[in-house]
Amino acid sequence: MRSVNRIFTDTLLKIKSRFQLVKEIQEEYSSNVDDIREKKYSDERTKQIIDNISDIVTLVNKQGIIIYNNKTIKKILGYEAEELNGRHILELIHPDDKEIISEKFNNILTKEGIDKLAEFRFCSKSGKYLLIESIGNVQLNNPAFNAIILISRDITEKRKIEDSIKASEEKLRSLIHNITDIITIISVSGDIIYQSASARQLMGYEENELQKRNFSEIVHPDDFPLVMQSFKKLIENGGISELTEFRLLDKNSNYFYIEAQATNQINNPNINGLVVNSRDISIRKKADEEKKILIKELTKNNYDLKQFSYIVSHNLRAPLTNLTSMIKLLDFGTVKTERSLKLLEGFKSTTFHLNETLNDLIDILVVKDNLNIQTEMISFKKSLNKITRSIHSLFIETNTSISSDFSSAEHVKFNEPYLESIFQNLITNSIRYRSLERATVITIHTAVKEDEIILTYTDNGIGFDMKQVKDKIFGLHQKFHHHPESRGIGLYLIHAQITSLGGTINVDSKINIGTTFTISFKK
Amino acid sequence: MLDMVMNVDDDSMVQMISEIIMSDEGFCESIVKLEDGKKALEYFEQQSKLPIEQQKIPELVFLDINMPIFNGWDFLNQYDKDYKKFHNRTKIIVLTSALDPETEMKAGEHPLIFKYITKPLEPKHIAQLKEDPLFKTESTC
Repeated sequence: MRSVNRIFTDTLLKIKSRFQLVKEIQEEYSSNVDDIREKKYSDERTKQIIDNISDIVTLVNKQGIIIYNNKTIKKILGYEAEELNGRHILELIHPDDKEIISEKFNNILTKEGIDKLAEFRFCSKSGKYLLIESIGNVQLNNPAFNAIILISRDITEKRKIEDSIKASEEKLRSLIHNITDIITIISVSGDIIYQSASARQLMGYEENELQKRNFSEIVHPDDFPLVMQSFKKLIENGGISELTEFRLLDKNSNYFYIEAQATNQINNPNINGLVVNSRDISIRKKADEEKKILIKELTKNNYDLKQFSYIVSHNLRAPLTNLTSMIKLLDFGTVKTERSLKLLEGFKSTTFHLNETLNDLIDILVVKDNLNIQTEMISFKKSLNKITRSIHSLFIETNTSISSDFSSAEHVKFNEPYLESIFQNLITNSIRYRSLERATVITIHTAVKEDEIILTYTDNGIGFDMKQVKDKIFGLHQKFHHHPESRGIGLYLIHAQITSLGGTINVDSKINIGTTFTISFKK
Repeated sequence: MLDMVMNVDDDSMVQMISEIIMSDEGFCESIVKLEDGKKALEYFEQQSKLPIEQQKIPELVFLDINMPIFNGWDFLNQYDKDYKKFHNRTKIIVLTSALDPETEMKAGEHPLIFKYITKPLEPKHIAQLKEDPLFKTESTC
């Protein structure tokens, strides 16, 4: 049994890395081999040890018949130690693995000593195949054995873990390969350690062509200080850098814009560097440039147009005010003929009409231009009264009455001339487009709704067809009636006044019933 | 009634209208009509060379802003620098058809501008001026 012990010991020793008990066994036996008095004890002890190691120990004769299993087989495969004795080992191996193992078995028969590791699926007692890793030691010529010693373990779980690691590595790899962003790993000294395959598409470099080169070689000199600053900051402070835009040199010696963000992974032993995530933004950059030029042009055009409108309005206004003044100063009583009087009356009304149109246009110009209109708390009632007083005679002439209720919201934060202009325009519109079949009644009331003050203005005039005018009603020079005094500016003007202060105006109308304007002011 | 009003405007129609309104309202004895800022400065230059008792300095100037060559602002700058001695005797009213808010604001802040009137000049403006204590006292003196 001494030699048996030695061979076991040898086998176990040679695969020491895998079998932790080996050393203990070896020490035990090398010190006691010659001690015959201890022999019996040793045999028993060897058996104990073999039955208690975590691997299956199997003896197979040269025909492949199993002649021995240690007790560990029960734990792993479910068989009793003696249960498989007399069975051929290939019987229990998975059909797909049989051929390889059979071949291997035949090969090792001619050899002596320890063979390489083999993997195969072995049928457990429950009928389930387990993945087994096994190493054989051919001791056919050793009279103590006349067998092949197999030491086996279950690697099903291990393989599963290995497979999942492999799969996730593969996934990560293909992810990095297929994203359009370039992933670069840079060492603390600025050397490129790794660059993803996308670098080829964007920069023309082969994967890892830039390896060991310093990033300073590919950053545009003008951008380098900025990049260096952000690089240093990231190394000192750790964490994630700010998104930085700079130019990189591609394989064809052209610079292109990228946007990059880096993470400090210096303390991550798997990386030991900065992970830089960068993407090509040259298209966006170009579009930005074009946009800038366009904005510049538009700003200039806008400014020129504004100047143009001021000049035009001034140049028109100057002679027009003269005409208005002269008409006013003219004593019509001294005009001799009726014909001249008629012409002068026509001259007068035309001039006044022209003057009003021009004044409206100038008002619009001022509203559109003035971004800093002052607002204050204004009384609806006060503003309305001011307007009704100024056109009092018109109310009487046209049999018009107003009923107002501002009890829900008496004041609004708005611009006073604007509010007056709104009342003025709405009321003159209502009178202008009144129904001649009934007395004109205008009702105005306010309400509070969340963060808005709503003013509802309704008349009972001739109305208009909403389908035709819905989108145009607040546009410039949109006239919906063949009314001689209609200038098509009033609604445009008040729309501009309301929206310039963050409010909205909506309209609803029914032919021959009337029109309702709903104005919401920011509270 | 004021002794003298100066009208600085390149628009002869404006000159005519202002003259008619002022004469209708009996606002002043005489009107000096000048067509731009340069002419107005030349007037003050001439007067400043005369002995004080012979000087004819307007109590009121209606000044247009938009004029060719030498505009209202140019006049004001020069007048401010060179004719400080007349500042107490003369009030300046800007009379312009420029409606841009900037001009109005600039005029409002200018120390030499007494008033800003948007054209056209109307009888009511003159009537208001006649009521202004500044001119009332002077006319009674």
